Amino acid sequence: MTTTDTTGRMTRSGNAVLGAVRRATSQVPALGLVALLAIMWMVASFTVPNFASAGNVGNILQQSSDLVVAATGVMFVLLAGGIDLSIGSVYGIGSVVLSGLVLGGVEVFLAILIAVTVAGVAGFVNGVLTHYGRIPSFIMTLGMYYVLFAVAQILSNGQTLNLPPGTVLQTLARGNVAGLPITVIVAVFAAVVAWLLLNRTVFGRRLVSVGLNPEASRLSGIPVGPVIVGAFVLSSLFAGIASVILTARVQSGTPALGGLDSNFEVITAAVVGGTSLFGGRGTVLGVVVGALIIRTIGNCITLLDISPLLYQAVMGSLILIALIVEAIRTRQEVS
Amino acid sequence: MATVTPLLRASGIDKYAYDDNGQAIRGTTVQLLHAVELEVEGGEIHALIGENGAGKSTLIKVIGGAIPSEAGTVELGGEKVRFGSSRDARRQGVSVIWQEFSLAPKLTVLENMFLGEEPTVAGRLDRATMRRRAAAAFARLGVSLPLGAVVASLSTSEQQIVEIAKALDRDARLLILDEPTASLTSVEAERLFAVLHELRAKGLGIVLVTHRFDEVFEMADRVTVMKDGRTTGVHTVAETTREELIEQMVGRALESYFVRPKAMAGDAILEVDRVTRGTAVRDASIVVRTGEIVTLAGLVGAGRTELCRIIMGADRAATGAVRFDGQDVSRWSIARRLAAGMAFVPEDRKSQGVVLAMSVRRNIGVRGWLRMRRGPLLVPRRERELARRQIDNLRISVNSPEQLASTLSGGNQQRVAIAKWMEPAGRLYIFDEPTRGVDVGARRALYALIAGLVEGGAGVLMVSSDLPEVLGMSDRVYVMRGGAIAAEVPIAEASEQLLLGLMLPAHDNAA
Amino acid sequence: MPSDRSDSLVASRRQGAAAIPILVRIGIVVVLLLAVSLSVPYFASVDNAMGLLAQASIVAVAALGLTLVITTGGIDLSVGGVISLSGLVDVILIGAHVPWGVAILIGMLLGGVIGAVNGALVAFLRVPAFVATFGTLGIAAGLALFIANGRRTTVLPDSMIEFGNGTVLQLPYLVIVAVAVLIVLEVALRVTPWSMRLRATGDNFRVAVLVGVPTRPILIGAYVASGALASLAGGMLTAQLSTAGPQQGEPYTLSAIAACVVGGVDLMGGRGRLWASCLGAIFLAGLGNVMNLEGVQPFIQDLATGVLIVVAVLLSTRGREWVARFGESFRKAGLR
Repeated sequence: MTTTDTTGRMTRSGNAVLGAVRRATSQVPALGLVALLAIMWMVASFTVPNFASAGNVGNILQQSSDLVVAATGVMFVLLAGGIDLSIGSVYGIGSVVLSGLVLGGVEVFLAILIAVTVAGVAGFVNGVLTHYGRIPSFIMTLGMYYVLFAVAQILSNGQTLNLPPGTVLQTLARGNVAGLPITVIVAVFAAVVAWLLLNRTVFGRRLVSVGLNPEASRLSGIPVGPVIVGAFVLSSLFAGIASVILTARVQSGTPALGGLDSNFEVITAAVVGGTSLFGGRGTVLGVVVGALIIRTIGNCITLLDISPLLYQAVMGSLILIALIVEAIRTRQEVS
Repeated sequence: MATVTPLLRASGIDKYAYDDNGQAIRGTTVQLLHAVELEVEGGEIHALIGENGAGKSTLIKVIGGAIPSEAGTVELGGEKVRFGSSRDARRQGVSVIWQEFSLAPKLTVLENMFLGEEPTVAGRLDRATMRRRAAAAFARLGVSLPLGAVVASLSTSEQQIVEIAKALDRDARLLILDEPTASLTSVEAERLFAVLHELRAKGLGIVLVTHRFDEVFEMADRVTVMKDGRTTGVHTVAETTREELIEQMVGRALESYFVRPKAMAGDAILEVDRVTRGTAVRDASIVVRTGEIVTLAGLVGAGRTELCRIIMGADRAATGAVRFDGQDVSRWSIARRLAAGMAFVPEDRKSQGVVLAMSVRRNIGVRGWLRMRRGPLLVPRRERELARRQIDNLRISVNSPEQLASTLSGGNQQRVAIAKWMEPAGRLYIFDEPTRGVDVGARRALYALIAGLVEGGAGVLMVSSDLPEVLGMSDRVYVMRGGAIAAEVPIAEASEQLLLGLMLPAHDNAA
Repeated sequence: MPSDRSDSLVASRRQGAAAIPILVRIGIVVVLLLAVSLSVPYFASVDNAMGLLAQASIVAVAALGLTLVITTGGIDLSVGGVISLSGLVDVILIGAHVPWGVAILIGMLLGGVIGAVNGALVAFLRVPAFVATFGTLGIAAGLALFIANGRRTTVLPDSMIEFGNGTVLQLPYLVIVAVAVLIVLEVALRVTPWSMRLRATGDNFRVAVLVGVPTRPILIGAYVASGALASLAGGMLTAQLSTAGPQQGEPYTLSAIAACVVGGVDLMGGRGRLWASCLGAIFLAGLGNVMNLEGVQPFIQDLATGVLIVVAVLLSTRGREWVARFGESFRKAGLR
């Protein structure tokens, strides 16, 4: 009897400690990531030549804008417990549709709207077939990756569609408003919208609940199917917007605009940003910082004259590291 | 077979219940086993009977090595044994056939018999030996099954035979069967009994956990009765009667913490009309009126949970209709039925009742999100207020509404699972085993809560396996048996003996 | 008796375990082949058939390893990256005067190591396989890009190019390799308890652990085999193309998965036939071959593969149910 008493008490105090750790980590990940980014910037400004120049930091922010948008989008799918591997080609199809329409004389804003809508349709198909067709999301979206790539090839006839100079798209890429690059403003706006969606809408609440426990959610009256389809649509819509930013930056449309590199970047940013791969856990701030961290690493790779070709390998390693950290954290919570 | 030492002697077995944090809960009311005794001779069939929750399953889990006990000894053939796992127990001659089989459905019979302990010769799978041993085991059973058949293609009874053959192959001396006939047809049950007779003749000890008196009287040599985690009687079957056994199974002191609502039954809020789904629910019809508590009594597996799931739309019935407030809702989605005023508190609160990794606030708010909007956006303040109101209302003890539901005790989790249905109030509440795993103090509060709902004009449909609870709380009782409604009993006529008699499959309706 | 009918319904659903029985699948393939050979000129020639088989054998070797992984209930997305990377490693080793056969073996060792990482992540951390292998895909594909850059072109030995393109008695060497791998794996699976343990792990993990299947070694072994075989496929591809490029393996992830799915491997685990996956690879190669002969653009072929795999999975997840529902309404209509 006394032994049970002791173990009982030990468990209780152990739980208290664990609980404290858990509570701390549930608040801190995003803050910890901000600190990590700050440290990276500090260290880099001493060790990496030219890192600290005013232009460079602006550069990083501007270069991060498309990734911030796409990564906050994919976060919705990860929250639902799935994955979206079609993003790289959503970039491609978005850019080809946009450029093609602009070259064909369509009003730029209308072209943007159509391109983003096409992207959203792809997400809708992903979501419907994943949930109602019960196809594992990694297979569905990988299949979609190739389908979209092929469609983009067909639409562009396999060619790079160079945009004419002087369009609104050029202003979008290079312009500033109140000293801030327009793309950065777009990214901030997208992040704010994502934050509102996640934290201030019924959809966001439902999504988190479904990601954590689909059955309990269903029994509480949450329409699980539409929520999951919505997550995939958002992922593609955001990727479509990111593709507009990127197309404007390179001033041309090509099916290979995103590719596998973008798939890796986007998911790595979300995962490094603390989004759980088991569903239901993730913050917009974390993902934004995750995207900045990734672009900072990319920037340092360039400045240090390290081969940019290592980039994908670095992304893969970051995924594994984040995965291991996440698995260990989850295991602690379970035990 | 008059042996001096019995084949199995389990004595003084104590087993505590554990709370969610893995701490043993002590105290007589929640102790699962209390100094339990069980003796089985070789060459006898020993029935183990008792109400739901009497501790039969826990006892065989302890004996079969699946869980450890806090006190007591298990002797096998006079030698003290200690099993670290069910595999360990099987190697030493004690095999338990659980209701949930340990078979891989996509593998064949032969493969399943040896999976994990395959006979090999220099690393090569020894198929000849596998076939020989399997054939020998089936020969001892006097049954033949196609060894190459995929297990998923077998009927439940055939899968059971595979499990028994596997036990025989490992030289089982004691075979424990957990309600083996629960999902068998009568023909299949007969075949199983023939097998068991055969094994008894060969000197095996057999423990038969059962709810069926006909089985006890036809099959068993002796019977041990359990109630509330204690052994209440051991009889030679020839010298006992059904009445005596029921007497020892029931008769718990009726505790006075039930709260009877003061309400009058009104109009029918729920009418279930001849609903059938497979064999789980058969031609079931019930009515629940506003202002009354109706319980579904019955054994585990009688189809009560399945019926509830059909009512609230989680599963579809093949035939029959569900009418809510006069409207046929049979084709409505869950979401639509819930929006119309149904509320459901499922039995398994950890996986279905609450989202453990979500805060108490959000768990309580889930039903109200749509109404907390201003424009497209949700106003968190309204959610906080709702959570705070319901935390007070249901006296949920939390440090903060932001706490994760996983950090609460069982009773408090249950209250969170109920709290989400309070605003807007439902008109029909379905509770599936609302007080299971909830301690005594918290129970009273739950009863008061349920009574309050009824006084507020709602109807309540409750599934309960706790007979005193059924008697203490309900206005009417439907007894379910084998997927069908066996009887409707007004509370004035109900007694534990009567209900139990209706719940247990009787001799004449065994077919 | 109503209960009897529902029982028989359950039983028939159980027996119709695969949505489309394997024999029907083979029948469909045979009919298609006949139809195509009649309508597409040149398709039915021996040269074309052998070329098709050689093409299929590369996918088949990767698909064989993947079949093991999917049977455990997992997935290996790193296949394409490993194919690219090991092709390059092979070429570099050959440039350092390592005999090409040994180079391929060393490459397989590397593939095995990558597989071991995948397996360890899945077996010990219980992380979702699609994410773990997606991460290693990034590492492998990234390393491939990195080492491909600035590398002097190595002229591969003639014997290796012959291995990739030559035939013996009209039969391409690549096909012989694939058949050899198939036979070795089939024998290993059948002779040892490996097959049943593999399937049990993917079928019902709880039961597998309960009855004492060493699930961790089984899982790791499957991923190691997948990595090593992907690497072998990379060597075969390099020999066939006489060169190694950093992205030449990329499409093979999808092709290998498609071959398995078409071959009827159960994506939920517990069921898969090695030879059927090979047939799946042949089917895909045949499809590609016909489209080539008909002058269809390569990216349309990607599109076809993408659609094919989605449709195949859809049939395996929901096909049975739809067939059952169709039968049900049919029966009801008949009763009324």
